[in-house]
Amino acid sequence: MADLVHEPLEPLLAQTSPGELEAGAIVVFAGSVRRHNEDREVAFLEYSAHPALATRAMAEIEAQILGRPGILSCRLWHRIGRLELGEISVLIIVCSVHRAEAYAASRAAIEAVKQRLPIWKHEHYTDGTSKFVEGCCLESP
Amino acid sequence: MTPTIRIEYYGRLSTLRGIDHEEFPATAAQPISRILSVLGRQYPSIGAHLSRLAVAVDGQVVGPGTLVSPGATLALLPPVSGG
Repeated sequence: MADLVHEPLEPLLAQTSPGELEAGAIVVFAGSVRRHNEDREVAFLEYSAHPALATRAMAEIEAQILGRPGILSCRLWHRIGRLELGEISVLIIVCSVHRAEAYAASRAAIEAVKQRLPIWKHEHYTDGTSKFVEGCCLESP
Repeated sequence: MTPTIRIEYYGRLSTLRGIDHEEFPATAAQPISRILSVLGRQYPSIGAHLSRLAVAVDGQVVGPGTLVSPGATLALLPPVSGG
């Protein structure tokens, strides 16, 4: 079950075993807060979200990934609130029979996160200024 | 009490507007495009950003031609940047 969380995601990295005996691969993707973006020095990030829509979209992404051939499980978390440099903002754990499916599914999941979650990244810089990161429009019916 | 539509601002719209929600007077259902037009005129700081956004009514993403009834919640969702 996908989660939108305020708490650090790092402890989840220690729990990557899916307990799935048919699994031959576990791919873990963790997006983290980097110091520089577009030649500007980042101090920290603030993520905000439309919680209900984001949680539903995350669950849909998980279900779609799980529907791919060979995928045994998919878990997705995204943090909101203030994040410091180096902290994990998004965590995706995909488990599959063979590694190729897991790598491809993990890539598809993070691309879907970037395009479909109503989440906004506000970058705060070391010079005291800030900017919302330019993103993409959610698809409308 | 005057019927209203609840407007919710997200991302940069919330920062630019300085609030995360407000009540929009509405005695009858009206299209989202009209509401956005009124908001853009009233609040020039967000006007330039209202042409590139998605909208949701009561938790469902909808098209700009959708009618919004008094009592509903209209969420204004600027371009997203999760991950």
